[in-house]
Amino acid sequence: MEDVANQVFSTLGDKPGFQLAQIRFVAMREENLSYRNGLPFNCANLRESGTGVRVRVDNSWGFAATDSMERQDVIDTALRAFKVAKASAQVSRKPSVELAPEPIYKDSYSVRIDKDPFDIDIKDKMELLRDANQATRDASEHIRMAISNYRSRDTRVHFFSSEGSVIDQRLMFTGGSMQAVAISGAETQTRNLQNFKSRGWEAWEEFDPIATAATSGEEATILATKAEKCPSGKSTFILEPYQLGLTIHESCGHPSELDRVLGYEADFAGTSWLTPEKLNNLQYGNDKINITQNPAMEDVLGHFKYDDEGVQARSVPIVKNGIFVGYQSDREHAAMLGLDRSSGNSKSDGFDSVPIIRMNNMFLEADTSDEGFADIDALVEDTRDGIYGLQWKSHSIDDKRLNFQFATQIGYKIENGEITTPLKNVTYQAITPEFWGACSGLTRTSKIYGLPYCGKGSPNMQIGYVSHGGPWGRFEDVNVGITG
Amino acid sequence: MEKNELYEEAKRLLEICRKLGAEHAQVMISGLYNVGTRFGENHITQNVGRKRLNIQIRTQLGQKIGNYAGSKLGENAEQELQNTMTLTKLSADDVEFPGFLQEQPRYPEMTDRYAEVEPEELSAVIGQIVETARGVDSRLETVAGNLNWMSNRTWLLNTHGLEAYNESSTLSGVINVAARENGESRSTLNYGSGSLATLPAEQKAREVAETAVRGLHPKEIDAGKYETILMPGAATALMNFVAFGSSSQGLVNHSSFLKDKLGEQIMDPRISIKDDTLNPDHLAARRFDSDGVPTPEITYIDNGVLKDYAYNLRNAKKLGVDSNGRNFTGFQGEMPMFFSPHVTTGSKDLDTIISEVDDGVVITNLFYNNFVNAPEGLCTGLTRDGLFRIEKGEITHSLKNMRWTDSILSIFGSAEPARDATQVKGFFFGSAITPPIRTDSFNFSSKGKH
Ligand SMILES: [Zn+2]
Repeated sequence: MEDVANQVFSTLGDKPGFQLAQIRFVAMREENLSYRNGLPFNCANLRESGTGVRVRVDNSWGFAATDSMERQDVIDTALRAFKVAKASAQVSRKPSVELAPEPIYKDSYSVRIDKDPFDIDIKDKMELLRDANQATRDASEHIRMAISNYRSRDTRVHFFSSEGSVIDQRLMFTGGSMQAVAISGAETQTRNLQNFKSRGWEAWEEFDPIATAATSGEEATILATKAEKCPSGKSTFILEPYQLGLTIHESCGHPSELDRVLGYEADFAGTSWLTPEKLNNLQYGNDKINITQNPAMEDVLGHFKYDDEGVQARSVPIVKNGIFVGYQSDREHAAMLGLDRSSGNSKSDGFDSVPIIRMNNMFLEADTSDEGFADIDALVEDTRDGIYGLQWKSHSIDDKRLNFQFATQIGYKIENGEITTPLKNVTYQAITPEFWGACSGLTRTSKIYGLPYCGKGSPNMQIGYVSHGGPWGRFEDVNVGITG
Repeated sequence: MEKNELYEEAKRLLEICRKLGAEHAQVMISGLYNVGTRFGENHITQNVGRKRLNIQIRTQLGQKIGNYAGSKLGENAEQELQNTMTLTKLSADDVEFPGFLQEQPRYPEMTDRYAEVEPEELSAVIGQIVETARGVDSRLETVAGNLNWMSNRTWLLNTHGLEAYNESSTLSGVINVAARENGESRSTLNYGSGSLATLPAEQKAREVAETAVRGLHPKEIDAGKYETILMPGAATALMNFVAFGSSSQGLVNHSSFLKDKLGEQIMDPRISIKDDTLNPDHLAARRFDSDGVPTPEITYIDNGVLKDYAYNLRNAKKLGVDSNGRNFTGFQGEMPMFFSPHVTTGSKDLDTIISEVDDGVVITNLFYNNFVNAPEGLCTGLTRDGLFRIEKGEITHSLKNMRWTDSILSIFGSAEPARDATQVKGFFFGSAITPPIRTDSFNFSSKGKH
């Protein structure tokens, strides 16, 4: 591969206007197995391999891809990327911008894999899924649909840059979801528990599929048979790390992506209220709020050592003591804002996708001060009246990321410091800085979850793999129980 | 790859499946060539050329099934398909598997469209769009958007002798314009066509620029129910929910708000919707689905009455009906859906409809729409890119965006389509054709901030 890459660099190097080329050879395999109501369902294996070449010519980008790694195909693809970059230069940025500098790396890296999931017998995987599926169905006679899913993806990326970097990474994620639909009379309710990690088979074992599947069935049954409707009005609202993570994803993650801040996502995802003059000046939340992005954190979904333009991953604070202090960037957008280095967020979802700024691992820091609560029990005990919402059911937020409305799968009333009645169709709506400004308590304990579905990019949307979470958090005066 | 090469490759893959012990197999192979460009702040930011194969293979051994999905298989096809066969053999019986089509259906006639473009040609169009939009008014500062040329040649073959072929190319994109004067107003519009020559780029650039200027200096309104005119972009966004509700997938997994409503009056009698998959203007036009079943035109909402659900072979077998050829297969599974909705037009033009509204709003686009609770059809989202007030039959000024939360069946329960329809790209991977639709009541649940 290195030989092919070098031939590409020498072929392009003599062409007028050529500045930079990055080549990614990507080989990916995935296994996706499911049981639905006692039957195997949509069991598939996936193989994607090919080469993506990104070329910078006259300060404009071109990208081309082929599902081949053969020498001549790669060279033809690189020449096409050059032609595409020349076409971009017809309508180029004025004034032009240099890329933020990054050291040259020669490195090889793999995420931690104790047991390779692709070495585990398919029969064993299928039997475990069958038993998990049965555990959901055994929860009650109200279970009408049980879907148990296992998924693992293994990706090898060989990255070569004409600047000299040679990076080989093995990235993997493993996990699954346990879904239950319960029906009682006219009431249909769903519970779906899922998690993914940048690890091997051990992540699936840790997920504890059978116990998790049983829980999904039990809680779907509670929702359909016993839960009360979520009350409407203003309430104290407690979120667990999964749904708190989703709230971070939408209200902090996307608006701090520098491409959308600078107007380059306006055709699809929208723009952002976190405009450049607010950097280091804006009270994003109160002083309990510290939000960090760190794809270098091991084991979490979205973890890597180098991004897709060869920038080393590192921890970057986004909100510090309530003040907005950082963006997620790539080399070009960092330079546009005058930042001295990319935050290392340039990622593509496959060999044939162009790298764009992507969220990876972003979380709320736990409150380790004396004010922090020992755990969720202590936080609930300290709460007179309120609602405790758990896990994602629905989400929506505007194109600048200010007005959000989410629904959680299940909720509970909190009365006099105790969790009481289960609640269904729990919704909450708030304005981003008001919500984060109304945080009245965080735990010292925290947890991070992986979510393999974040859509971004246009005209061909890419799917990102992200992780989020943090402590359990309490927020005051939140609108709940939104009705039509 | 050319049509014949793709056919030969599909044949080769079927033979390998047989050799590896499959009783039967089905191959869908698509040669994909894509040139796509994206622009923002008046310049091109990304430009992409992709060539690849998309292959989906299903192998059958009795009632045991395995699936393969991926890119070009080449010389290692046998090794890769061996994994799929292992998956097939070690799987348990799937008694709901309907089998592959065993007879060659007759597919309906459809005009294929295929025309290649070069990256330089797309860039030239972008240059025109930026110049045209900015030329409309001095307050128009920045233009963003994209333009995507996507082509594919697809063969579907199985070991029972089924052969189906489709080829198409489409050009489609988005223009987003920002006007600034004591604040910002953005507007977005779709554009698309079968060829560069007929692409209405400059006309759409002017249109979206004018809307952005009209959106400047918005006033505020309170949350509550408003008589509302949904422009085609907003109407299409709501059609997404109807598409989910009318999918048989939602019947099987109990998530549909249209479950048990067949034959019922679910919408205003003035609303009819057909799925005109054979209309080559649609971005997802096709004559057969991913099961190989023909895709006739179907009117699924007829004068407000729900007439049909979208089926594939699997759900049709489970629910005891015939498939109507609406399957789409991806790596994550199958999803039958009416992908090319076409809303029947009404008798009044848009100006007349506006003139009849005493106190209401016009919504250009909706954004980030989602079910709040799917089984009851309760949904939420926000307005985007142009919310306007109507007072005494006239559009008087623009409004700050609002969040809506409402039931789909209540929105369309008393609704009237206008006379002229337009195509809106972005209906899943396809497009919708719809006129503006006036509804008696649309519920804004909270205020936006811009
Ligand atoms: Zn996202």
